[in-house]
Amino acid sequence: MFREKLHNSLDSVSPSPELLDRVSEMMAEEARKPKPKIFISAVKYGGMAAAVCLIVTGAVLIGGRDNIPSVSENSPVVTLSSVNTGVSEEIFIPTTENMREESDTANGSFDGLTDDTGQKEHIVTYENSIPRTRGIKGYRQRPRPTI
Amino acid sequence: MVFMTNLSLRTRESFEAVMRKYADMVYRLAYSRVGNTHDADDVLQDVFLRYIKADKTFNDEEHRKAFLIKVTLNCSKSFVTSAWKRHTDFSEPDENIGSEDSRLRKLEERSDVLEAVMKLGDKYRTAIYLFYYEDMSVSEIAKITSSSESAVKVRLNRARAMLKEMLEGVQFDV
Repeated sequence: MFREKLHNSLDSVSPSPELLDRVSEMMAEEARKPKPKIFISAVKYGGMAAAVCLIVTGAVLIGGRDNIPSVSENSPVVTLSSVNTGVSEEIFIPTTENMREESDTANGSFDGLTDDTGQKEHIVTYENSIPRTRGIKGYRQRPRPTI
Repeated sequence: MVFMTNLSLRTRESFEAVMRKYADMVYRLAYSRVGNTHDADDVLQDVFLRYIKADKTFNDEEHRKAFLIKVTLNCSKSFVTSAWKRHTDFSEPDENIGSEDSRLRKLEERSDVLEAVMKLGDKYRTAIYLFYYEDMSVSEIAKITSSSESAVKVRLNRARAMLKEMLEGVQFDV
């Protein structure tokens, strides 16, 4: 039978006594080693992780202050100033109050003006901005028909 | 202090008792997986070091045996697929083998049955060893090898078919 033959074959396979003694010594040496205490490790590595998180969060917050704009309510001009370098820059940002679109209020759909080539333009006007060369409050006058 | 000394002594004795009890089983299983005695020696050391590092609490002896079989299978697999093993040439014989030379040579002279079993694939070899040598049931083998019972049955049937071709006239007691 196969089972008996396999048993007879494998019974001769066994580890040498020298190997067993060596493994026994290794196990005894391993057993003598002090085990790392889980609580202390958790506090140690948890504290390190928390410190890293705090440092990263602080760095992000401090670095982000450079891009915080100083906005006055009545002026669409926003001043960007860097805390570190002291350099300030003024840019114009359109808001909902000073921005109007030329639109058809009857049907609610946008119907822009038509330029010389017959294409429609989307005109956005800004109050308190640089005055246009033509028209009032930025509205472009329609070209007069030539007779 | 006396209590601590007794405890460590008892722990060491229990580890050694476990090692003496299961060393043959672990060694044979490792041998059936890796195919030679040198590698089986390494796997045996690795298995018992992992056992002592794990420091698990076992419900009974069957639980401990299943743990050791599982660790042996994992260690053998890691050893066979390790980069060192794949890039090392074993074609030249090791001349530094001392007094164990005769024992090793004797072990290498395998019987026909063992030779045929060693020619099977890893998963078939493991199934045959656990079923016929360790007398484990199909469900136990499935649990240890993390596979389904039907997969184990298929492996056993295919292994028997291959062994019947290699060993003419062999009878399996299923």
